[in-house]
Amino acid sequence: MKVWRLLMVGIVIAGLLAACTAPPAGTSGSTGKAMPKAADGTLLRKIQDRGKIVVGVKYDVPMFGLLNPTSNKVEGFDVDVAKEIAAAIFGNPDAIEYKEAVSKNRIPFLQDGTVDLVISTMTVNAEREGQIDFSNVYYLAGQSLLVPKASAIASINDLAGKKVGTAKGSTSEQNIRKMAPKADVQLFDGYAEAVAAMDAGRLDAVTTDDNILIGFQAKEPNKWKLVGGQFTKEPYGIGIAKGHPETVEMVNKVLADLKKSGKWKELYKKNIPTTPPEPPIDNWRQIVGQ
Amino acid sequence: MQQGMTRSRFRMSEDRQALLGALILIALLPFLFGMIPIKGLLTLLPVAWWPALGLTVENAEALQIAVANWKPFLEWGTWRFLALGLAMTVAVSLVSIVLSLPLATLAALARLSSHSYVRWPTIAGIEIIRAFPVLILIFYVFTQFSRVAEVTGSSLLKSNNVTLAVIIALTLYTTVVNAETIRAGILSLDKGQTEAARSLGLSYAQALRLVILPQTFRRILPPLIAQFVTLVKDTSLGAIIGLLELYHRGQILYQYYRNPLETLWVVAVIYFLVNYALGQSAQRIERRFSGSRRIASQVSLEP
Amino acid sequence: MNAESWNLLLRIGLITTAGLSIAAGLISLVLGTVIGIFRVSPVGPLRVLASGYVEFFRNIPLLICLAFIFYGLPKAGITFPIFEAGVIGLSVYTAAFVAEVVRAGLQSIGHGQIEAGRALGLSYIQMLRLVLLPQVFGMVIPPLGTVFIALVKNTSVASAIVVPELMYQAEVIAGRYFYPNVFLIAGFMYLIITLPLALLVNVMEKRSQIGHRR
Repeated sequence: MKVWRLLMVGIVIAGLLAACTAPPAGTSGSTGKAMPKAADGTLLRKIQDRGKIVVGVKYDVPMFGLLNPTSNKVEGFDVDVAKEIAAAIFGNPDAIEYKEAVSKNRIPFLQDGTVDLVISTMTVNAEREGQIDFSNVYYLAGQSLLVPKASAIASINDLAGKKVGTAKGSTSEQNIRKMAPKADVQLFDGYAEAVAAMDAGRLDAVTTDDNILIGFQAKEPNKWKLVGGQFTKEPYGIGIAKGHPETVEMVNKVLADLKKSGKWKELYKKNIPTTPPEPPIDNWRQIVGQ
Repeated sequence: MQQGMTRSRFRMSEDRQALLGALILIALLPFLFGMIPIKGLLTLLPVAWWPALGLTVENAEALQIAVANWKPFLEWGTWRFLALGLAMTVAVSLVSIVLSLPLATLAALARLSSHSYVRWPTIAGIEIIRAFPVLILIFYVFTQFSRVAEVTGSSLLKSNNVTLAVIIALTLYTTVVNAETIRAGILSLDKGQTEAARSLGLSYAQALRLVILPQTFRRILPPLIAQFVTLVKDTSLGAIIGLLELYHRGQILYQYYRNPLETLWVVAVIYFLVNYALGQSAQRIERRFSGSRRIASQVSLEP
Repeated sequence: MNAESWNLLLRIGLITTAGLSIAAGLISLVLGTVIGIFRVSPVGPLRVLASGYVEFFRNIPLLICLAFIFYGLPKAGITFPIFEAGVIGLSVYTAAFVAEVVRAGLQSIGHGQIEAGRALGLSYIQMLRLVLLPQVFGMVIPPLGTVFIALVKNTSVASAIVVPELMYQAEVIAGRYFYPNVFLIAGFMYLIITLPLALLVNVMEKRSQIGHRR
């Protein structure tokens, strides 16, 4: 029964390891000028009095919001935008508490005040605007195609009869069914699983927003290429609970400064391995032509 | 019959045979599916010998790919990554079975109740939940969660708590299975015991608490451990909604290193070792109590 | 909400689930019987390997079998189509449980019969075919029913490797129409498939009890 005892020891060690994983690091001191206090009773004033801003970001989207397993810190474009906002409010880019915001919970998070802002690759649309307020557009993504390097697929028009993978319950599924009705759409539990299936030769293409696909392409540039351009427009905005115009205004001012000063391109270069485009225009309706 | 029909020299116990066989199978798999390419290994011999052995450059390349695929398992970090998953798997399974025991006892007693308005709804509930695939239960609980959270604003539910959803779903399922085990355990006790306890002046509740349930639990320990093995396996279904347990961490590894054969083999071996050890402990306990009448361990048949 | 495409999806799902269950049921019955016989065979290595097969597959999650075939085997140059991958994964897994039932059945037959068969000069194969298996099959039908009920429920796991069965369609519907109660509906559809099986098992169990009454 030595095996059995050894295994028990193994399980205990595994448990200890789990318990020992360091919690996310706290704020580290970095100074700058804090903005003057906002009017009493506003959300912005509440944030200022608290001394830190609570931000919902993705933990699983490379380049935008990803929990790095080695450092146990979140990093990415969205996180850097959050840091700019914290720097503007407190003069300290680290005065942030991060919460994981997945697509299903991020709007309730804002509505019940769990977080102050949601910066989590969230597309602005009319339906969501009924539930929460949005800042100006800070990033423009679009649905695209990831295919094997040697693939003959060049655009969405080449997908007839091809096997195309995407995630269950995503807007990408609905878009691809509409735009390539003859494609054989297969649904996976996540994009990484779909790419693994393509790696096993089971799919001809994987489709979703290009910023997600770029991550896979950048990791294995010899295997994959992005084709077909952006065949939808997904303007990302920062979500804020309804009824806080002063906070929206503050966020928009930070975004405007980012875009104007060239800092936006810097953040892009830091996180995303393609040549930075011009920053997107502010108004999402203008972008999608509504 | 086995002994009667065999005249072979294999004199091992059945357990040892099974373990040996499983280990042989585990060792064969990598050779069967090219995870360890035999021809590739032969290319380590001097190049001059290659033509005679029918070896080509392709074989040498296959060896390189195999080495790259196994390489992550030479690193401590990979094992730590998987160990965290195993800890989650064991923790979720433990919490679910512990939570299920009081609930299952209540359900078993309700099912044995003499009042039909208690008995029938319990039977219906147990049978319906037992007929549902575990995966459906997990998804249903998970989706109801975000709804309940919206209505009540409960902060525990609101964070889209995958772990809690999996625990609740598995607890529900384990409760109905254990309820049946406990019921069978109570029924297997001699009727005389209850009567004797009652005649000593104990109330029904006292008789249950002091006489019936302690004996029942001792008897059903082996099937409970068998159910625990099922739970450890079922926890893997949580991966589908994003629970970071052992299987899901395996997925993340093969999605990263593109070595699904090797990673899934390693993860399967970990599950096998843990569950085999659990099964052995169930058998030891069974033997220890073999003096008393016992209930056979059920074959665990969940994913 | 489009009720028509809903119905269609669930109907496709139900048919696929039934197909998966029947195909995997038949294959695992054959494979499991063979392994069960090997488990009590007089040939040592066969016995060891067959016991090992049962021990291994009983102790690993079904999801791993399915993923190994779906994501792994193509790397070894073996690519099964989606439905076949599901059938094979489920069969390989379920065969271990069928083998256990068959073995238990074979072992429950008294020594006397075996010795009687021997005395009549029957070979091992003849004895299996003429004496043991016919008796065993009557005996194992109730426990096999339980195994197949579990198989029907287990087909839901194949949704993870994109087999378009009931669970997969339920997920599609839940995602597309934001209607989580579809899981409840799908759950009851599984109940509808397994209910007749469960009743059959019950009837058979009662009958065999009557048969055994002395």
